[in-house]
Amino acid sequence: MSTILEVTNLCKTYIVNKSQHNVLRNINFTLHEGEFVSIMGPSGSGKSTLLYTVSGMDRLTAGEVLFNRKQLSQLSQNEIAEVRLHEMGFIFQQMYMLGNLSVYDNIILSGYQAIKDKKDNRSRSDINEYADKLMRKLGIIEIAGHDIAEVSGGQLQRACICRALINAPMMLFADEPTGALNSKAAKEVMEELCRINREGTTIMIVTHDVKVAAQTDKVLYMVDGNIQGELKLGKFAEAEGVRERERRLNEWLMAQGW
Amino acid sequence: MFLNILKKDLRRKKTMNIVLLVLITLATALVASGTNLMYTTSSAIGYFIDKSKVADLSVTIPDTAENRQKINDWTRDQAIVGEVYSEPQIGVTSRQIKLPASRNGFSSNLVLSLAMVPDKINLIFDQKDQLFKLDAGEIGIPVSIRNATGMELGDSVTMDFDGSYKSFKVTAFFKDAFLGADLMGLKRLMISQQDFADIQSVLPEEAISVQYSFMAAKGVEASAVTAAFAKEDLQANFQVDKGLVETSFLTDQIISAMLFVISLFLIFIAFMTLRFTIVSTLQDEYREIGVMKAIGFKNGSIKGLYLAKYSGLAVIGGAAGLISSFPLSALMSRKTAEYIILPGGITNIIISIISAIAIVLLTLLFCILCMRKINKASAIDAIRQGHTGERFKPSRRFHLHRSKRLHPMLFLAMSDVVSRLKSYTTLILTFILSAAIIIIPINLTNTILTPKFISYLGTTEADFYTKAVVADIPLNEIRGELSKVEQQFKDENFDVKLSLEYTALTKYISDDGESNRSISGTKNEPAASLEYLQGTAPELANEIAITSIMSEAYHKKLGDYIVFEIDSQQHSFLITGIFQAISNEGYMVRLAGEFYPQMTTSYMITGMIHAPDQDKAAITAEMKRLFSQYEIKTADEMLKEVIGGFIGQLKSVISLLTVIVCLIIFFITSLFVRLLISKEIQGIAVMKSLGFTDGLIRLWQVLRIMILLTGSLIIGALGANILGERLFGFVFRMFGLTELHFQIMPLQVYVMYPLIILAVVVTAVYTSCGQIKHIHVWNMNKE
Repeated sequence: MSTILEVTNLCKTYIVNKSQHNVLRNINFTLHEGEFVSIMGPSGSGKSTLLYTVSGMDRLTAGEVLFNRKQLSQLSQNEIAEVRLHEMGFIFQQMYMLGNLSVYDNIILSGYQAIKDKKDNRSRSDINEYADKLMRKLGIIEIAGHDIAEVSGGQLQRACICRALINAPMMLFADEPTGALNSKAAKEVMEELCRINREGTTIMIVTHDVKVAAQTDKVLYMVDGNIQGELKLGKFAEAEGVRERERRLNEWLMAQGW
Repeated sequence: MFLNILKKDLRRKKTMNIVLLVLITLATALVASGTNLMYTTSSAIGYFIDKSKVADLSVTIPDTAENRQKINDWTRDQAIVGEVYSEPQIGVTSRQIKLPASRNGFSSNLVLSLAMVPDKINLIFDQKDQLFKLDAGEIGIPVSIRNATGMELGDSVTMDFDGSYKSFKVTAFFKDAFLGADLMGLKRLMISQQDFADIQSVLPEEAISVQYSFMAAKGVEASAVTAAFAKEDLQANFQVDKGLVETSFLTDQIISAMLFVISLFLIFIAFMTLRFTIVSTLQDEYREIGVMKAIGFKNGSIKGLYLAKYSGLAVIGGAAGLISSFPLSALMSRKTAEYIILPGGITNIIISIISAIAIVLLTLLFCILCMRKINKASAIDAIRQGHTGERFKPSRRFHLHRSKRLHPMLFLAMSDVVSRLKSYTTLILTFILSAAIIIIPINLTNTILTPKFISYLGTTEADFYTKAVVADIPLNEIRGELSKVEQQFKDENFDVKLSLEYTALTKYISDDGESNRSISGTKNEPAASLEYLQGTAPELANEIAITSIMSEAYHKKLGDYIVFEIDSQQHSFLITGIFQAISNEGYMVRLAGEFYPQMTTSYMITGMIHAPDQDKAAITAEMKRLFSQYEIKTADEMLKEVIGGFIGQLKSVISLLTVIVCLIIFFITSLFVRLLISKEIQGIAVMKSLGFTDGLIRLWQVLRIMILLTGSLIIGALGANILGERLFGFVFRMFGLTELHFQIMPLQVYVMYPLIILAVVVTAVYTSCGQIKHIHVWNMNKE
């Protein structure tokens, strides 16, 4: 498997009220295509900052982030935006969508923008077909024409997943995607993410939920801006059952000081 | 604790609080100066005329023993005349006056007279609004002539009195209510008593005339004096009554009306924006208010907190605005104050203070009204920022997936505009009013500058005109003059067709003799093709054409008979045509081709050049060089001479308007875009995460405002063209034009000025979009 994300000596520092806060300190890790990795750790340990920095959403202070053979720190803001449009997908805890658009139009919006570049040869009808397909897969086709205020949180998060996938990204970044959902909706969303991963999309997810992390291939545990430990769980298969993986993860987390 | 919350609020929301403070300051400054200007301009002309003690009727007649006797007899018999003043005058022409080489000469259309500084009636004032005196060798010039000639204090003016030269130094530019208005063709130049006596001594007796000024007796209408004088057998060279003086300031009244409308516009925009900003800032505070409610704060306490904050902002802004309104008012009325005395005093200051207090109270009122909504809302409603989530109609009318080509950003912009049209009301109204307020005066200026307009002034359309000669000359003599000029042009090989245009004094004789009126009769030889609203040109000796204003005033229609006294003989004429004219308040007649008056009062020669249009300018220039004695003018030059001052004022108003409107739309658009972006932080953060560049997000903002602007400009331009014509049709009616159609220059109205507004708006949007760069994905969790 080829490397999709290589992070070397990554540092991120904020200056607040003239004092320096080192949020990320010399982070090193590598992600291969098709991997599903979760990042855990106590609040304020730098999980979300790591996600936003390696995805080019935020500028790094030092180190290197190589995404799909591109040095993100050397790209301009517009080039990074282009990478995000064509090669990355994002899912957030807050299922925020544009209020003036229907669920369907929210999903296809970035698709329509992507095909304005020469890089994407699809037509608008191809995008529409793909959106239909994704929504059907995620079981939300019936809410396509709805306003975002008219759908449930679980449906909305699945719509956000569709939106993140509309340009068939190589990698999906998710920041606590199940954090605002009830357990049933959270389970459904995780099932979708696992399926997407099985279809080949690399996923990096920040979570506090052991059940969620237990379904990923690898868990990185962060403390005070450092990766303190790494647990390889291997590919999750429905048949194996999640309980054993949860138990292993819980033990490991306890050892990490969780 | 409240104080602590308040302090933190002011510190934390520094930008928004500063924006609100600036807006209250601006609104107060605009409203205070706007109301001040409204009061000043609406009362200035009446105040100026009263302060100058303008006579109810002034007549200038030759200073003969017979005339003196007639005037004495008339005033003795008339109980309606209260006081009579007389002062000698010496008539001069522009050719007698020599100015420094760098100055423009006096217009040959002006009828000039030399007089001494009056001290009882028809007073004049210096630039400091004070009465003044002149010493020997000094001359005072009216401001309108200073503006036309470019003269400066200290300039030397030399006059030729039949070979006797007299030089004066300009020591005063004066404000003249009596004859100072641009539309008044008579102008007086002031000299000292001693100089006047010196000049009088070298001139023959007939060169001196007397101006008699009559004041109506107590309780008598000013117009009664004019009516009584019209019945007498007294032929005045010039006659100016108070009504005419008031009418002569119509151009200034139009300018005042425009400034009045600008003030209204500024006040309206200020209120709209103030309301919009307060509502928006309070909406931003809903969540905090909700949290306060949730932890047990009472409505009264919350209200007190916010009222304290807004009261502070309103009082500081109101005071700053009031202070800055004084120089702003002075700037806006500077042009008018040059030749009109503006009513000053405490009233203006009181009006400004009342306006400032009104703004402070309105700010608090808007605040209280917004708070009322919060009072009713539950804590959770407030946390949801006043949105309950209920909606009873679909918010979308557009669907992106149904569009084949629409750019996603254009779609977003259109969708925003359609679904939230109401929230853009302030911006839409600002754009509509801005467009209308610039276009109306432009249309007006273009209408006045069309060649056709010259025919409304009583002159036919022609390629060139010789100077107007104002003198009582028999018709035969001026015909001889035409033949002489024709021969001269022929000798120089100019292929032109010359015509004679002259006026004769006619006096309308009413059935009861009460409303007799001296009216100028015009005629062209050979007959020119002129436009008529109804009927045709008079041809036979007993035919005549009258103006639409006369038709209405005297209840005379086509086919009716009307009596005029011409050359001391009464004639009954059949009305064959009705036309419109702007001069003499719209009172004018056109004499028939076969009617020949014996005496003419003025004449000029007009000419058509037989050459392609593009060559005419060069030919006219050559004529001007060869025949400088005739002071040849083109139609444009002629029009500029007659109404140049007004056009100049109009152009200044348009420039002032353009600057004010551009500043306002820049400020309002910036404010609006900043507020929109601050409310759309989450949406922008999501779009960034999806890979939309800052440029694309800016494009969305620009397109959204462009859609609003385009729609508003179309409504504004159409409204200006339709409503503006009606509005100014009413104004021109006062001048004598009953049917006015705006001359619309599409390039200016539909392209140039909209493009200026567009450029300002795009600049405002782009400069206000800087915030977008600083919005990050983590802002999604912040409101």
